[in-house]
Amino acid sequence: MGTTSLSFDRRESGSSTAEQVAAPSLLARMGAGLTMTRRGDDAEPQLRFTVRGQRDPVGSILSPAHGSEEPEEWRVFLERLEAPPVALGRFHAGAFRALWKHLRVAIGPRLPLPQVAPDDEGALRLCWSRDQYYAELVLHRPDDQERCLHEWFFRDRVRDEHDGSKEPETGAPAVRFLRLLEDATAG
Amino acid sequence: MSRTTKVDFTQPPINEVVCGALFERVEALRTAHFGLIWGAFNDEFPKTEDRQPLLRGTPDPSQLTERRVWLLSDDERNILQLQRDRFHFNWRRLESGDAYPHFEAVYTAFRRHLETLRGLLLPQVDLALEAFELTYINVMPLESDTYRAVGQLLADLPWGGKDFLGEPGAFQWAVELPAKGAADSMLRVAAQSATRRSDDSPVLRLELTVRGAATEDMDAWFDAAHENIIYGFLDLTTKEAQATWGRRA
Repeated sequence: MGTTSLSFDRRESGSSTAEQVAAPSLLARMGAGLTMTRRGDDAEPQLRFTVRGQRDPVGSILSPAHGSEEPEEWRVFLERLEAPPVALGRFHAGAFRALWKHLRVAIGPRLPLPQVAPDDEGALRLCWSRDQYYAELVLHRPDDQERCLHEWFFRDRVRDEHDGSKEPETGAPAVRFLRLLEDATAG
Repeated sequence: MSRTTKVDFTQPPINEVVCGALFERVEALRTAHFGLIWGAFNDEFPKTEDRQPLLRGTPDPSQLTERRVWLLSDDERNILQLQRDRFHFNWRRLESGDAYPHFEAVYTAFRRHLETLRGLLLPQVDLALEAFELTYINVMPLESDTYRAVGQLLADLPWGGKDFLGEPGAFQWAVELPAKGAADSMLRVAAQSATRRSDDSPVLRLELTVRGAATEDMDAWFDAAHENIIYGFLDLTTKEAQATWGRRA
């Protein structure tokens, strides 16, 4: 449902047959609960919320710290793609930044930073290698239609399986590659 | 043109893409659980908003306690919407320079987050998926606030000269068609005139939604839904308009 869209849901609701769960079992599974603590006889009771073993005051839950920020070095690298030593053209650099955003949307902050290197033809090669997995994404230089085509390759060294695009593609990397990359980089 | 041809625009008029799953209402989900679920997502979605619930059918008293929660990414471009009977992932454009991440990335993210939700609820609740939904919302500037400008964008909505009526100032239009390649699914197209808040300029909002019965193969359903939307969009819009959006394939 769009964030500004009109609702046009006219389907009749099916009656729920979902198995009822006792709230405590879900709470217990997530290791969560609410506790009241006192710091001393005169201190006001302080409400604390615990999630997965963390004990945080409610205030920090309302403004949670989050771990989705990228390392400063990587942000600087992305900002300076047009400058030496990478020295990409403006369009190529923009396509690289867009590609990285696509990957972050798809896979989220757990996506490790890739190794990035230019090849002899001016393409940028992004590589991830973890355990038996190797994933590679190549972003070509802009063509005469100002398209930055890309190719992908994936290998499972243990199973000796590999997959990849058959020819350079436009747009975002294929769902197949994103799924493989997601699996390969899962913690 | 073969439907295997990938269609690409340099400046697509896409404003928002939404992937969604509707499921049997999980009565056991209480307000507190929504907060706990947020705990599993707040690395990527550190902000929240409460929204009016989207109700199905005729509301009954049991739905009075329904709630819908938005979990937003730090830049507020990505949104998870959670309700006891639905789960949506939205990507939205907030600035004109925002790069559209493409269907592949949006769907992969939706699938990943849906799996996270299912993992949190198992083994107590296994979500019984009932329907899938894919929506593309396009916002296109109009040259003027007259209906005639709409005909420059949508091929099927020309407005001939009317002696008495003149030109409409505002309009709404919608059609529904069976979706191709996705059983028990419909493509709904809705167009309406609107005004962009940032500069009060006239725009056309074109929304394409495919909704259908959930299937075992979610990837195949969303692929088919995406194809219906892409080729439906090409059928609906004029070639001249497509050229202004930088169509390259």
